[in-house]
Amino acid sequence: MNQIKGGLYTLFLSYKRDFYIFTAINTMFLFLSLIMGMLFPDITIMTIGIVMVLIFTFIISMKLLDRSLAILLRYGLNRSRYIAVTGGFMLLWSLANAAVLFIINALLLFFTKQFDVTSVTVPRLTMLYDNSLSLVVNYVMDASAIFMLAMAGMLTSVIFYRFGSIGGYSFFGVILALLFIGVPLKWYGPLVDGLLSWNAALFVVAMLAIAVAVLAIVWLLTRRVSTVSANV
Amino acid sequence: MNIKVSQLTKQYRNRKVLDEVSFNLQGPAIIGFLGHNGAGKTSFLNMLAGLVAPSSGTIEVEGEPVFNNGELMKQVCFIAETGNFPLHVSIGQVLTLNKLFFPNWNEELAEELLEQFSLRKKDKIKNMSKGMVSALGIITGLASGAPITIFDEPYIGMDASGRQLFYELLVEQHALEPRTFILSTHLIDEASNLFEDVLIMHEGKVLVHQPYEDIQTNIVKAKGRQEELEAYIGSSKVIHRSKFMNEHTAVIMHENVPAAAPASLKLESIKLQELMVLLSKNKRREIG
Amino acid sequence: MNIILEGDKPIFQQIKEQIEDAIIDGFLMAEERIPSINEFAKEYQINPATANKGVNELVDRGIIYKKRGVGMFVSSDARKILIEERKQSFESSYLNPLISEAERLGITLEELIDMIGRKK
Repeated sequence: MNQIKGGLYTLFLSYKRDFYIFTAINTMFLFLSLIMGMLFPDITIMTIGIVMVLIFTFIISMKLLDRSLAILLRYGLNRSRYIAVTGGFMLLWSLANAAVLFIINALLLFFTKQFDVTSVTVPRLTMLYDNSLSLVVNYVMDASAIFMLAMAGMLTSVIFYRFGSIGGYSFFGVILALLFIGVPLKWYGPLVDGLLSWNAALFVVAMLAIAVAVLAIVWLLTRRVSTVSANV
Repeated sequence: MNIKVSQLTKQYRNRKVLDEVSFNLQGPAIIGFLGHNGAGKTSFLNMLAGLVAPSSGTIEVEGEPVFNNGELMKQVCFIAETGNFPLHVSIGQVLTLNKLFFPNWNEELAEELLEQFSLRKKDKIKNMSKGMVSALGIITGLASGAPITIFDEPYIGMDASGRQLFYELLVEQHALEPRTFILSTHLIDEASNLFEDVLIMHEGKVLVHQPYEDIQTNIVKAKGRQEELEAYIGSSKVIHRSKFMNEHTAVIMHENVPAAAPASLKLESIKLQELMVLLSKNKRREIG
Repeated sequence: MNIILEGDKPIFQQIKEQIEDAIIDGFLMAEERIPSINEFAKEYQINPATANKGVNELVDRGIIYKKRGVGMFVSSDARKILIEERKQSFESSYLNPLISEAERLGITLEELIDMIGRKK
């Protein structure tokens, strides 16, 4: 139990700085767009809080293993506990970031209404389905999307760690190739249609299902991993 | 704590760093783990700490295999050269972490040692000098109370007085509460008097594993005339030969306590440091 | 590297004694070439200037001599000179400590002579 607590505390200490910096930047950016909207009412401005959080989370989780695996294994965690701790930490991370988004969204909505700024839209994931959905539903959707991307980042991190730069970039290459092949083969139309035909609950369930599946793959790939990474 | 190593092999791509090594370490003791660069020391210690999986063979502590053994690893504290702590963390936070990870953590001792090494709790790892981070590693190892505490070159960047303090504290802690300390170091001259047991790795094999006192009596340097020297060597292993001013010198490794030498031969004990230098000059086949 | 010089005497003096011992024990014979300064420096891992200081003392005392461009050699009567010198210092280096230790332990002169007699 103490190992789990210690592992979470280690990750918290390692990432709290990143969290503060990013939250500060994100908040500033969103309020800057609000001010811009008030100054130049003719231009339509979209704020992109969730997209930035997703990108940032992905970048951070791509470095997860490099930053914490050696330290936590030296501290005595076994590999399953390490995965449980990092998975748990990223879940907390998603909830915390979604909470920040929740507050920012609430404030922005309040201010746009208050100052009657119509040129600023605050896009939210709930808008995919129903504009009238509450911010709480949006919070759950945000959190599940962030968590899914965190797990994808973690998988990337594991692949780079286990198979070195060559393996990592090859993996990326294959994924990108698949994405490009998707354009002529018209995969995206049905995908978007499918996504839009869901509802919020299905979206959350799908995100969490993907996240759990990816975490399981990560767990399989790290069962015998050493702290000496494939890069050296 | 009993550490049993059987047929342990570690292969990286096409390089064999450990080759079917078998030995037992019996604690409590301060064990010197020596060998020149690339001899397989760090690979072994990484496997003992459960960080790296063996290619084949096993390491068992008290009869349990170490790899991926989360419960057993609470009893092992591994302090490596670098990278023991997260960067954006203060010393005080490291102590909090240590308390969570080591069941026998001695907070009182840690606080006292911080003072002795002049470290301040609010300093962050990333702003500290190499020597200060090394000192924190040493404090962690000593105060961990872990029955097996491994120091792998723990004093990078520390000055002579800091290292001296480390040796004193190590002996003191070992006297107060005997544990199994494994110390891997290149500064053999400084540390050799601490060792009860010495293990010398050479090109993936264990070359010497003897109590330190036996090494001092069994490995000798003999000087004199060639014929007398050859007669004295008999069937023992010769680690190194040389000749200067027509006088022949041989460093001899006896299996057991050697017979008395003729008075015309000059016998000297050899320092571990010098032995290591000679070993690294020689190829294995010449010795075996 | 086969000898570690000990810390209690100046290094140049230890070099000097090593050469003297080699001559007295018969490893270096009269008129035989001795290693060069650089060889000494390499063997003992010391500064050549230090080795030179030790060797020069022996040159001054006529134990060894230098031949320009050829090297350094043991003088023909080097062993004789050295043994004579060592004999002279034998009393102070060996007898005096022997007698004072015997006194400490309460061994009488007769007993001491008796012990030495039995050794032979």
